Amino acid sequence: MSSVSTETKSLTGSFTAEVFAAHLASLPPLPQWWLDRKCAAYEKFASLPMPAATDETWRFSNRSTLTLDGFRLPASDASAAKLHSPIGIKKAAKLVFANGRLDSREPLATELAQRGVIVDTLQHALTQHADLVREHLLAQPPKLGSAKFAALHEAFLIDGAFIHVPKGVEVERPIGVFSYAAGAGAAVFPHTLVVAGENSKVTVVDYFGSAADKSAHFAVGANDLYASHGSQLTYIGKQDWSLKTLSFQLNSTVVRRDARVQSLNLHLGARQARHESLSQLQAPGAFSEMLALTVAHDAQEFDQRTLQIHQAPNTKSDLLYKNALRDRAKTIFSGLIVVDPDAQKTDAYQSNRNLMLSDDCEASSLPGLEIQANDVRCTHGATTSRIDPEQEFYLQSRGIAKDAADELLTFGFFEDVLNRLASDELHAALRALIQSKFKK
Amino acid sequence: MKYPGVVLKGRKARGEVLSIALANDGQHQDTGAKMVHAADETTSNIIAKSISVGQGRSTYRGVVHIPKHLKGCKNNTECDALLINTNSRTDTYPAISVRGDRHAVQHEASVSKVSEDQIFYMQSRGLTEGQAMSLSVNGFINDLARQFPMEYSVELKRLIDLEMEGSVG
Repeated sequence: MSSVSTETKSLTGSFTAEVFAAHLASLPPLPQWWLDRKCAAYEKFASLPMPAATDETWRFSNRSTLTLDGFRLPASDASAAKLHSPIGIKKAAKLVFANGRLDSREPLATELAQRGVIVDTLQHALTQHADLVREHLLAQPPKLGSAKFAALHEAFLIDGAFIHVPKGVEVERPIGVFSYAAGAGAAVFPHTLVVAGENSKVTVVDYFGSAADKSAHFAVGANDLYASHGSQLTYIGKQDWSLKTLSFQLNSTVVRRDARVQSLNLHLGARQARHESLSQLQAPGAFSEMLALTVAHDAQEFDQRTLQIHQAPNTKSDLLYKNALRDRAKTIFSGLIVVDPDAQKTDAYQSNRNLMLSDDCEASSLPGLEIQANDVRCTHGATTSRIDPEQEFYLQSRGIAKDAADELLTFGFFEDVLNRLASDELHAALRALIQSKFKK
Repeated sequence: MKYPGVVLKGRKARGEVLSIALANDGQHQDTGAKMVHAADETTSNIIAKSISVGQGRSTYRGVVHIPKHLKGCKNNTECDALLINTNSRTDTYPAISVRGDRHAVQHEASVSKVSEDQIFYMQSRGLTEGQAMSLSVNGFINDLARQFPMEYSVELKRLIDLEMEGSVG
């Protein structure tokens, strides 16, 4: 076994140049600049190596199970979307993608559409709203280690959601984006681009799931969130791929002056899931709240990498990632707060809590700080422990059985994060989703 | 660079690392500790305090490792950094991995600067700004310095006074 041959083989895996050419040929007419970017991205993907053992950004990750082999670009499959009805909350608009192509949609109310709110497919937006898309689509550099997979995403991106709320408009109800994968070995590249105009307000719920066959999929999703001056953007991502899926989700958030972004990622599915979240606070008054909940069971591995960059004075970020681990599950949290030299009066917080519910699970934390300004308040904390036996004992002394007590305490552990949501309806819907995974 | 490592091999063994680092202009103090738990019910404690003066840069780098077959291990890590000037810099890179049964691990780090209110109060009581700054910095490490032998902590205080000279203004 020469290591050279395995290296060259694994650089592109199933995503060979022929597959890429076929993918390009299958696309409808698109602007030339976008096709050029896709070609450049493919070149980059094909030339970058797979993550190596010495990469700090992949520390603790299980790299032996990362593979690009055995996947295929699925043909359009419309049957997938019918099978799921994940959360029953009313939405302002809805887009459903099956294997990367638009399957169905519920349009916006005419009143909102008249005020300029756009909920459309990326393919359509590439020609209709070219300026906005060109400015924001995959515009931020992948800084957290998955440059290869980010390039793969760009090269093979077929379609996704484009959401734009113009200046001063508030959208009350959440906008839903649903991405499904169906068929064995299907590779999907979901994308959600949200551009919130000045002083606008919007909530986006992004859902990722597999069709009922529960076969192995390969997903490289990305989302770009851009919050202009004074806007309020709430993003909720729910990852519920099948338990054989290899998943990457790359998030990039840009927060401008006095804007506020809250993102909550719920990680339930996939065999191995990596989530990278980059938050850039670019102007004074920007606030980014980064929340995540993970329920890991069996041999699932969740790998979460975050980066909060404070580029301007008087910016604030608050991160809370909570993981509950059962069976042989493994979670990794690696977070870094970077405060640039001129970003005085930064207030940054980063917290990772791991609740270990079995003897065989494994939790790793790498909370980091890089501070180059002195007038700042930056703290981080990471804890890993079992359910507190005293709390358990108290509940038992009140006549609650041990299993029920553990369940109560675990839900209490998550409640801390869910309470940060402003919407009661979303709170209840997410709680139900977590509890359903727990009771499986 | 200095990373004392402790391997906790016997049951109920306890390891502790106290660390104080001061990085002045042109210095990069890359310090930290390693705690490798290798027996049941072992406990470890790391307290690292760092002070960055001028363009000094101080870094905490640590490893806490609790492998699979152990039970009931505990670790506590605290890293506090104090930044004196606007161009001082501090970094924290801990790595914690925990597997197995009934372990409890906590890590906490904070970054702060010398409080202007405190300096103002001391100046109003007749101290010069430099003296006030030295007193403040000595207060920051006091809870660690108290645990050292008396001769050593007196010397440490004097050293900090000397290092802090001319760092204000």
